[in-house]
Amino acid sequence: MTEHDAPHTAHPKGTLFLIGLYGVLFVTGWFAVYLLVYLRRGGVTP
Amino acid sequence: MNVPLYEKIWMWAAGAIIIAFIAMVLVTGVGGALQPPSHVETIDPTQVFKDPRFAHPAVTLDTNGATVVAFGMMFGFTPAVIRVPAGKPVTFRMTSTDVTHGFLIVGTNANTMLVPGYVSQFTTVFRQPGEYLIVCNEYCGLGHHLMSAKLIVEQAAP
Amino acid sequence: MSERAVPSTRLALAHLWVAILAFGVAAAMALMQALSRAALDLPWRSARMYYLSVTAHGTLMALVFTTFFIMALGYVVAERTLGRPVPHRALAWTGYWVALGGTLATVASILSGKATVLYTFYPPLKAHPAFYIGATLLVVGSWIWGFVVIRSYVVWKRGAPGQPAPLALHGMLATVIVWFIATIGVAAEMLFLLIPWSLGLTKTVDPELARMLFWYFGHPLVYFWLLPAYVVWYTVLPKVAGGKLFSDPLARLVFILFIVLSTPVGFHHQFMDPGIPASWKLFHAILTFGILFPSFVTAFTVTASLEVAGRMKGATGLLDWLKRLPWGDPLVASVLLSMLLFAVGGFGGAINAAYGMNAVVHNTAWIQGHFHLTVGSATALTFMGTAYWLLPRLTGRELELGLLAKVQPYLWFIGMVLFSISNHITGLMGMPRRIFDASYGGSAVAHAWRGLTGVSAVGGLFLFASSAFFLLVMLGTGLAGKRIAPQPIEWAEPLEPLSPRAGLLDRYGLWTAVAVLLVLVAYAYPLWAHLHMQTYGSPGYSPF
Repeated sequence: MTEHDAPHTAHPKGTLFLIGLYGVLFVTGWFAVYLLVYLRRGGVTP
Repeated sequence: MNVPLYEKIWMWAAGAIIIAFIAMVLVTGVGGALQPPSHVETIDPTQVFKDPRFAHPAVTLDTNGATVVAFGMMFGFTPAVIRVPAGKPVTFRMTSTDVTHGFLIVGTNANTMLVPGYVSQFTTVFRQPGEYLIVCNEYCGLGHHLMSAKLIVEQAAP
Repeated sequence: MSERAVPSTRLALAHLWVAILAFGVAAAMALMQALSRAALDLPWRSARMYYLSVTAHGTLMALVFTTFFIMALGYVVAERTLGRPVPHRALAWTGYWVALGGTLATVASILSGKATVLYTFYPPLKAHPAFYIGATLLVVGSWIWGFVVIRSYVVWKRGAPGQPAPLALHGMLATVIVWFIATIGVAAEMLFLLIPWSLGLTKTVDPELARMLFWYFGHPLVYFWLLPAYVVWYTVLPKVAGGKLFSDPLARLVFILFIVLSTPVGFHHQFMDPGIPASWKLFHAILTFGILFPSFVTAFTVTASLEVAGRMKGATGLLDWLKRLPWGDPLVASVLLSMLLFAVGGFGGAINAAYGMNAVVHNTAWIQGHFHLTVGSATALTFMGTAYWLLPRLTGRELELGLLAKVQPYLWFIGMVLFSISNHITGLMGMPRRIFDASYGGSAVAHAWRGLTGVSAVGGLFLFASSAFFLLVMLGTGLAGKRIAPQPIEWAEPLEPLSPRAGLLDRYGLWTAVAVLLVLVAYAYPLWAHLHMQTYGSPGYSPF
């Protein structure tokens, strides 16, 4: 088996899964606070 | 640069997340005029009581809403009870007579620094009548945690 | 390489011990705050002690512990990646004593009750001159350190033309560049405004100008704390976990992006300030979102390096590699848990940065919840883990009380989850940060915070226990550790062989110039306009 066939040089599918999940939670959480807390409380204008 | 495929996918996604956030801020901030209090006006902090803009801290009602003139001072706000009408635009004009204070109406987005030498101003609408707690949210000395006031939002007279 | 056997470690160790002792004092201060927040009726509980301890905790943790630890790590990286002692050793020691002298002056002024101005020291709160002068000397000492680290690179580079710096040194050079650009702001605030004013040479100070200069410094300060942690994540963690670095060029790119984007974002700490036009705040907000990108990339690259480690040990399937990681190793556990906490911290940061939405969280308990996940975990927990790895290698002593070192990161994690999550929630409910007492005369709104402030205090107890474990391990190892054969300090190898030629990402002068240009775009006009506006100074107040 050459270095390039070794399992550790395959695509990091577990990482893409975990980090992708994090990205989804990040975006969902951010928009949730923006829409459900910030905008619901009523805006402030300068 | 040779970027591994899966990381490339994530980098595009990360870029998209960032652009989505910026787009949301621009749409509501520039489009909807929802901006942080950023008024630029100065005042001599040692002369606040004599300055015509702050000599009479009070709420002034008019047909369109209300204007609140107030200041923070170690360790309280003047006026200590602020009555405003519900559902109408209320403009706050505030400053500090000594150190830097904060002004937060708990449960609302009314949140600003009161920096001596500067006038903080913003406009907002209180939809829900009731009593709100106002707190100083910037450390201003040993009485910081005692510095609070009351906002009473009243149902407009029929 | 035979040269690697000779480098002296006394310089790094001297800095490391100051960091550890500062951490110990700061942790004791934190315990007092945690108990105070729980409203326990303790005999020594007073507003004066509370605000004094907040000042001491913030200054010792955020400015002293971090700076001395980073200086220690910087010297280790410069010596051990290049395999030669750092140049200008007498100057480096001078920097150490200047920084230490300054630290002692600042700490003495705080503990004597003459500088209860918190570590943000916003005027017109006025501290004893020793507070400002001492803090300035700490920065001057760190400048000498930065100069010596850069000179190490320059001297090495002469003998190795065209070669890229080793990645760990690349990250440290980025740290130094960020620090030099950042500290211009605080140096200007200290030298032109606060020191003359505290000495009575000037009568008044413009508080908003001081805030602008402070936050010009205050945000890149965050990356001064974070980048050395990233150095450990990229170049030490994969090695200790038994893997390889997933991508060396991307790691280089990340550090360069931080050089460019760290500073022109400071107004995002001042969204709620008067005196700064909304348009400039919006500009800084957009750049702040840009700085999420290098941290998003870091999350992937470091996690993928861990996946490589797990798969090299034979893991198969989607997530089995997680189980193959050495979770019992103090460095690995510290870094992995600090990454988990930072994942939440980064999310909170994206909320803080969101312009108008900042009103929801500004100066509420959310903020202390947030930065205990960032500087208090991503940085501090990583540094503690690094200390477990570094101290035996510098002293030639075996790590003592190894069981405590294994448990300590988990205690920190539990404590921080309890402390931080509860503070995020009370922040959303409107509880201000930095308050001695949260009762507000029996207000019903304030009463609703009570259960969660108790949770936060329990978190504080866990954190204190964790800190005590850390200190015991450090002192035990340093004073009584068994002498062993020196272990090597080894850096992670990249998965793909490193290019032997320095490229665009190794051109530090160029990227510094880009960074300075962007700083000018973001700050020159607002500062110029501010200085040309009719402003009024404030006399000083010392209400403590």
